[in-house]
Amino acid sequence: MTVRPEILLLVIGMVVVTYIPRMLPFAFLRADKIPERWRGLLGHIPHAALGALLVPGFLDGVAGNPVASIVGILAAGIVLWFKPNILLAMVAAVLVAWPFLAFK
Amino acid sequence: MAEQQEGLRHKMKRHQGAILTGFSEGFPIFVGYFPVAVAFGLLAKSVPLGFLEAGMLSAFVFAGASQFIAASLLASGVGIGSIIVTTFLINSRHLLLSTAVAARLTGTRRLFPLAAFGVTDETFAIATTRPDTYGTPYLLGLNSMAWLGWLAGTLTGYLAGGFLPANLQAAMGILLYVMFLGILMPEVRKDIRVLIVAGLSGALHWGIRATGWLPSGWALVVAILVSVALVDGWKGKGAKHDSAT
Repeated sequence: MTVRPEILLLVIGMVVVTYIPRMLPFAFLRADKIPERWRGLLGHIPHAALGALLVPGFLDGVAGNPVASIVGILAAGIVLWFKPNILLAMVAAVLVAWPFLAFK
Repeated sequence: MAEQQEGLRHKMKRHQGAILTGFSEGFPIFVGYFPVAVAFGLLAKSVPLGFLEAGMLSAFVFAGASQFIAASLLASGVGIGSIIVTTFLINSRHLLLSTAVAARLTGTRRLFPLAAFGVTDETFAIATTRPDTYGTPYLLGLNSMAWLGWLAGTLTGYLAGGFLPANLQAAMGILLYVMFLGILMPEVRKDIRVLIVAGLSGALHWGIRATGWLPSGWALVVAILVSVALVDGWKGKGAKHDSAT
C-alpha cells in the first residue's frame, strides 16, 4: 500500500487546479455586496446548469444503453411529478431501467 | 459574562441545526454518488492504481468527471502534465458554480476554505435551489455527506466492486441524473419558465458537445452562460416593453 511519487505529484497537481477555481469566488464574493442586476443573472445559473447537466448526459446514464436510460429517467420523472421525493424516484428509476438492460 | 455564554450556546445550537439540515439534504447525493464512485474504484483498480492512490484522488480531488478521465488517461499512458491540464479544463467550471454558491452565503466567513472544497455539480444544485440563504455550517453538512458517499463508494468499489450484479451496477448509473431531475422538477412546478432556461441550456450543451469543439467542462460553462444571457436579455427586453406601454 504505497503511493508512487509520480502519482502523488498527479494528485497534488489535480488538487491545486481543482481547488483554486472552487475557492476564489468564496474569497471575493459576499452575498450582501452583489449588485441587484447580477443577482438576477446568478439566480438563473442553477436552472441552466441542471438543464446542461441532464442533457445530453442522462442518455448515457446507464452506460451504453440509451433505451434503459430514457425509460429510467421517465420513471423517475413520473414519480417526481406526483411526489417530490428524490430517493423514491431513484429506487423507481433503477428498478425500471434494470430489466431493460436485457434488451440492448 | 453569563449573557455572553447564553448567546454562544444559542449560536452553537443553531449551527448544529444547520449542519444537520445539510446532512439530510445531502443524503440523496450520498446515494447518487456511491454507485458512481464504486465504478471509479473499479476503474482505478484496473489502471492499475493502488488502494491508497485511488482513495487520495477521491478524498482530495473530489471531482468525479475529472477523476474518471484522469484514470483512463493514466491507463493509456498519457503524461502527468497533460492530465493536470485536462483536469483544469474540466474543473474550471467550478468557478461558475462556486460563484453562485458563494453569492448566497451569509453569516460568518470562517471555514469558507473548507466549504469551498466541497462544491460539486450536485452540492451546488441543492444549495442554490433551496429557498433560503445558508451559512457555512449548512454547506459543511451538505458537502461532507457528498464527500462521504464519494469516498466510501470509491473504497468499496476498489475492494469489492464485483459484489453487485453487473447489470444492476450499470442501471445505478442513472442515479445522478435522477437527482438532477429531482432538484429541477419542483423548480419547474413553481415557475414553468424554469423549463425554458433549463431546456435551452440542455439543447445548447448537446449541440456544443456534438461539435466536439470544446472540452466537456467548457461546453457546460458555455451552454450555461449563453442560455442565462439569452433568457436575461429576452426578459430585459420584455420588461422594457412593459414599462413603455
